[in-house]
Amino acid sequence: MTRLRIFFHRLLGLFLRSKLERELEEEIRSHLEMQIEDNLRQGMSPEDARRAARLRFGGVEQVKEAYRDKGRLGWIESLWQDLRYAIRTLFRNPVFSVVVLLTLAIGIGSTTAIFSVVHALLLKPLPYPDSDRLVRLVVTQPLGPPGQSSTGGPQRVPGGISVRELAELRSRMRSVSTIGVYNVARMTMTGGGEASRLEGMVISASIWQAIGARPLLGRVFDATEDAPEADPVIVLSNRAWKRFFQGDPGVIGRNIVLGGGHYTVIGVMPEEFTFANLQSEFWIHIGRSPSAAGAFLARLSDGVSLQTASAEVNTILRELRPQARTATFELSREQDEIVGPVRRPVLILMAAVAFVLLIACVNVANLLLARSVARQREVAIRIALGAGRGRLMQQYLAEGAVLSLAGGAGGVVLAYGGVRLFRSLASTLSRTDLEGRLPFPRIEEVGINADVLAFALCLSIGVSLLFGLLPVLSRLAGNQIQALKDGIGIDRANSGSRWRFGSRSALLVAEVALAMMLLVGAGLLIRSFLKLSSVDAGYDPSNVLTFQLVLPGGRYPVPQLKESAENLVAILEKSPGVEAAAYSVQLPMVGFRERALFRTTPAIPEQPAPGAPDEDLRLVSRDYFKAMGIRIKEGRAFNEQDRAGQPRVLLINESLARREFPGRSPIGETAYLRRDPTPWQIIGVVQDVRQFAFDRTAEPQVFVDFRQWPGVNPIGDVPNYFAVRTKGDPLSMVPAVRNAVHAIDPQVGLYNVVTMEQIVAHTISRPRLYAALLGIFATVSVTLAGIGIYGLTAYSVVRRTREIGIRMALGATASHVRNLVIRQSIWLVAAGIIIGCAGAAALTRFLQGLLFGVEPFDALTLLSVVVLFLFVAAVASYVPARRASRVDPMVSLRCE
Amino acid sequence: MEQHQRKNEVLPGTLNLMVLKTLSTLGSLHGYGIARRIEQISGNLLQLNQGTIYPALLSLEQMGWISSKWGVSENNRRAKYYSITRAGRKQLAAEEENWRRTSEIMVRFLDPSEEGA
Repeated sequence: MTRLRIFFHRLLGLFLRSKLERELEEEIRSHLEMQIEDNLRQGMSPEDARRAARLRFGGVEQVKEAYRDKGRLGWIESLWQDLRYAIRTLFRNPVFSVVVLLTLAIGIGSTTAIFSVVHALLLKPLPYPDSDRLVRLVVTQPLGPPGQSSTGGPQRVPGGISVRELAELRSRMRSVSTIGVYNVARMTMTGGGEASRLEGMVISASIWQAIGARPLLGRVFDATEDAPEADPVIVLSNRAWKRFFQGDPGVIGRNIVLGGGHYTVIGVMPEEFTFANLQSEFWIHIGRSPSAAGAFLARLSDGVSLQTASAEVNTILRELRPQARTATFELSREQDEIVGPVRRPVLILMAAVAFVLLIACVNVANLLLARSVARQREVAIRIALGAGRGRLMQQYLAEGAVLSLAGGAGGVVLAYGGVRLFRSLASTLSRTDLEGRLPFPRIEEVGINADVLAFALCLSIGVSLLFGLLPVLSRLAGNQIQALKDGIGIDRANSGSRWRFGSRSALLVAEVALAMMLLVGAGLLIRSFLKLSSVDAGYDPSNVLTFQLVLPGGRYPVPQLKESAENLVAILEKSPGVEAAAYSVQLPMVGFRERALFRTTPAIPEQPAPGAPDEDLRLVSRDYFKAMGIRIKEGRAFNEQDRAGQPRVLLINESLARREFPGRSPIGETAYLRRDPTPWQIIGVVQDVRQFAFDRTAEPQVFVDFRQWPGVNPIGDVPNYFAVRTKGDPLSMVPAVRNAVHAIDPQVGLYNVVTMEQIVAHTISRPRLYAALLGIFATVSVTLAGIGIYGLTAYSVVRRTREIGIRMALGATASHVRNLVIRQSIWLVAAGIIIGCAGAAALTRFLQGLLFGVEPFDALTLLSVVVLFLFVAAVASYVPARRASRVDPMVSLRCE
Repeated sequence: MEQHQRKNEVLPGTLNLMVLKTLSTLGSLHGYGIARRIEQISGNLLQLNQGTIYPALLSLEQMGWISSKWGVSENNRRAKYYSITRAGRKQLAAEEENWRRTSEIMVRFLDPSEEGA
């Protein structure tokens, strides 16, 4: 304790040094004056009084020295000196310092930015208490539906349960403490003005308990809400509360009309609360109907393992679902499932960025080594004068610390930019209806926080230790006498034709190899992304505006719905700038599907098991093919005659035609759909459309004109999606479209107004992000490697100036010297490239799942990367080589 | 000359104790006052370079046993005034006890017939 206090005082004294000394001087002065006064009073002469006072005080300088010693902190003070010295050195070589700091900032900054992603997605628990106990149900089908995945292996999908099964599971399961069910709900809110569409959740009351949510106002559901006679109640999100009630604290008990039903507000959630997605604005009860179903969420009981719980749920659900004989049910941590699809890519990005950091470090290490060689004489003299190894090491550590902490600070600034870039690349449309849903889970949680800053600090400290020790190790191993001799010109190292900086060459080879691996990875991802985005999807997404409608609930019975949708399309088609307008139950990339049960005989089939091969039913309007740019391969499209009451006609796609009518034309054939005995006639075949994703092959599809469809829209209350093909920029048509809609009914609202291109971009945003980030990393590392090659070559040219001079004096030509220099670095780069290729061959298999249309071992990518690298190396070494060839032999021989 | 030979050197460690004792008896005091007081008490038997008091004062302050404040002396001179802290009093009590025992032992050792100091 006392020692700590002394330490603290002395530390303080370090900064107050001059103040302390001034104070001591003043004290001594007043001390002497008081003594002189006393002496005078005793009758001494002024001369004697002064002399006696000084005698009694003793040596003033000794006192000061003793005083200083007490106030001193040996190593801290010398460290302080070293730090100031290091900072001065930095300012003395501004170019060197800027290159080093920028390199470090890039390395530390990009690593920090990616770490913030890893932290938010993989390390931080979900924002619910004990979220690692939250589990969801996962169903594994031994064989996926054909065409759904490229591999066709077992398919693992999130499993749902019905309210009936929920009751059964609740009474029988012991391994979980709370079980709930939830589902997405899209409902129309009415009451004054334009109707608005709200995303929300229907949930069982137990969900609140499972996620341990606390409301900001009022309460959440309790067991009374599960009772059959319970009143309809609603819990609002903070956003909805502010939007619709202006944040009124008296909102509890107010009424909301949602989907035509009346709900009483019982609670408002805090701002940071989300469940189960960011878009959810409300939570209502799932209802008592036993067939209502949704996703399964439960909390593991204390001390129960995931395996035990999985086994229990598998036994019970297999018993409850005898028809699903082949499926396996298991429980999986919610946390793992949410980030499941991006886990590996994020880890790959982290590995890639670690490569960038390593390359940056190697570059800086090389620069420092170069400088330390230049400082050899200074060091030798210091050692000769008695500087201990510890003292030298301390000086290097101080320099390393100054460099890497400054670089780290720059890195944090860069990381802020990096996180911004990542978020803008990763966040796309905020929609839940598109295939793949949110391309990046938890992206809103990614940011620079205390943990991330601590990581950056640790990184900087680690790097500073590395740099501090590097020159020490290389130096202390060397012979100091030799260093002194170097200084006075007895320099064997410089006169040999051998390159005597093995460690620097090794570092360069390593750097090139690392950059090669990154470049190969980035090349593969970029090629794969280019292939993906140039896939012929079967439709033309350019110049198409899509939107959805919100209808005031209850006012539109089904027949009128069809009619008003037809009306709207007719008005839109007549608008200037519109080439075609259509509506459809689903658009490409929308994640809903509907079974067609297509067959050529009237016999009504059994409902196939989930996952069995099936055709996708599309209910569309007359001009859908024209609006989406889908080509008719055979026969004709729908026309005005194909309306209700006319002979029923349909179109099929090429896949279905190949499957059902191999080798002959399907035109004029009869077909049956669903459980309907009335026949349909096939009038055309359309091109295959990649319906669900660019990287999934087309599935068999059936197209029916909605006017002829006997039932209601099987998916929603409206023909869900409208698409307008425009002549110019589709977004410029938005006001015209809005006017057309309001001309029919001013209370109808528009939402999800986006272009088809935006939807496509959304679905490929993940591969785009990976390709972009890895591309950036690869560019940075190639640039760094180029700087490294340049630095090493330039340095070697300087060291060999004398040798080159001798060669030229003996008759070597400029081109000879140039080749000599370039050849040397090309050899190093070639070694790096070979090692890099081997490394890439070993590592690219981790990219397997992220590639589309490209094999992990892609000769074209590899070849172009090698060529690119050789080019960079040639340019980077040409500049110093040219300088070498201009050496004037006379000057070079005289120098030093 | 003769007088000088009879004077004692300050034993190591004792100066701190003397400073603490002085401050605990006299309250707040400047460096000169402390030095004078020590000389007076020792009956001028102690050979004290007054300057050595300052490093001692600094280390006592660093240990938190005394505190200092700038003030004005009786004849209007700026001087640093030192006073003992609570921790200093505790330390003083402990060291006083320690010294008393040590000197007692020394006295018994050197002159078993006589008591006291």
